[in-house]
Amino acid sequence: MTPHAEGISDLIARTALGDRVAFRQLYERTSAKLFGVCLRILKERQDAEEALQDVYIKIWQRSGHYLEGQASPISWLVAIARNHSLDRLRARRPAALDIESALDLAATDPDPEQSAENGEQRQKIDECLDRLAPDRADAVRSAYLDGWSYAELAERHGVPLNTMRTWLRRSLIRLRDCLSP
Amino acid sequence: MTRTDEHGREDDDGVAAAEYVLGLLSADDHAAMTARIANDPALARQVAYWRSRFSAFDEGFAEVAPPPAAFRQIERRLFAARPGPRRLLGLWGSLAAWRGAAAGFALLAILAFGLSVWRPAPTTPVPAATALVASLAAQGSEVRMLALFDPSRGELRLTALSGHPGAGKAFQLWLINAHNQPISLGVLPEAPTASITLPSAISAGLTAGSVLAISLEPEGGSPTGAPTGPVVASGAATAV
Repeated sequence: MTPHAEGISDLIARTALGDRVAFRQLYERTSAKLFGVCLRILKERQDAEEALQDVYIKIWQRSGHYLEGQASPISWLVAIARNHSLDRLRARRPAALDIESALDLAATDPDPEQSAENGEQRQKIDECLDRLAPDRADAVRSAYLDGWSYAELAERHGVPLNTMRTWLRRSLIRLRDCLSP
Repeated sequence: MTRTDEHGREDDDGVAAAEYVLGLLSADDHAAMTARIANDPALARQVAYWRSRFSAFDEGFAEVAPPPAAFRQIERRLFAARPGPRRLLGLWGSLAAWRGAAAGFALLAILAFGLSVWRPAPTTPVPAATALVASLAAQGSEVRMLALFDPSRGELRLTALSGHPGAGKAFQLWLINAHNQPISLGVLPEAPTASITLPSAISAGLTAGSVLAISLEPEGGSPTGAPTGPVVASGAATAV
């Protein structure tokens, strides 16, 4: 379940004014969601607990940067938790292999939209994922939700690292073509 | 199929932006991308695009209650190291020109100053939204403040004329409409002036006749979300 977005923007705005009551209410309404994010990506509870503290300290410090209407307030908060968890994950991983590699990639004209998400577009990504092979759609989802690296995805799917890269990159191009016809 | 035309680079960037948002890049590559995004608006747009699309997955994160002590630790890390509260109006209160000024005189001064600062540039005309002003005071209280509200920008500006909350206390500002519950507009910063941009939902409720009130609360604000301390100043908003 996702916390009700209504009122969350106001709590972020009041937090930006240094209102500790609003900050506590924001925590009460969103911490289970954000702890879920930290725990899913970091796996270890102790690590996730420390990450959650860091995340709310960042929210306190950055609340003035949130622009109403730019993104849903929940997405904004989840992005802070997710990015921070991924940073911690990257820091504890051994140096990864160089990702630059010349791969044959099907190419089409890019047409990225700058617009903020709306409900229809958000539903559309599921439709577009459904057009990919199930294991490839699963790889995209679990990269986002579990923070898995190429190496971890390759191991999980039992394919060589380069194959996983090619898979995923091609999947991302198809996804974009589907999302931006 | 391979195509290496003039779009080749952009396509690579499009995929790299998606990889970046998914978190697939190594620490070094991730840091390099972060630096590139800061200087490359087209790449930043690609990243924003993917963030927006992938945020649809956010529902996949299940809620898990954090340990009960977590918030206390967050508060301690944020607030424990802070120096004790300064006297809110120490400097301001010492200005003799303000101290003795009649409210009406001060009001005019604030209006002249405030409106000149607030008035938008002539090239960006805005519909004439009526500014509101409120003089906040209460019998038996030293606290006096002036509030000026610019509805076109949702900006509420406060100027403290006298009064301070004292050690371990804070002034909290409330909006009261008729018989509704007071809505917190925030804990006032320890400064002689404060500028508060109200969320549109709250800003719409601040009209002529609305009452602005200041209550004395524990440092950090009312623990209940409603005023708990005495109201040390209040006043109705009137159109300028």
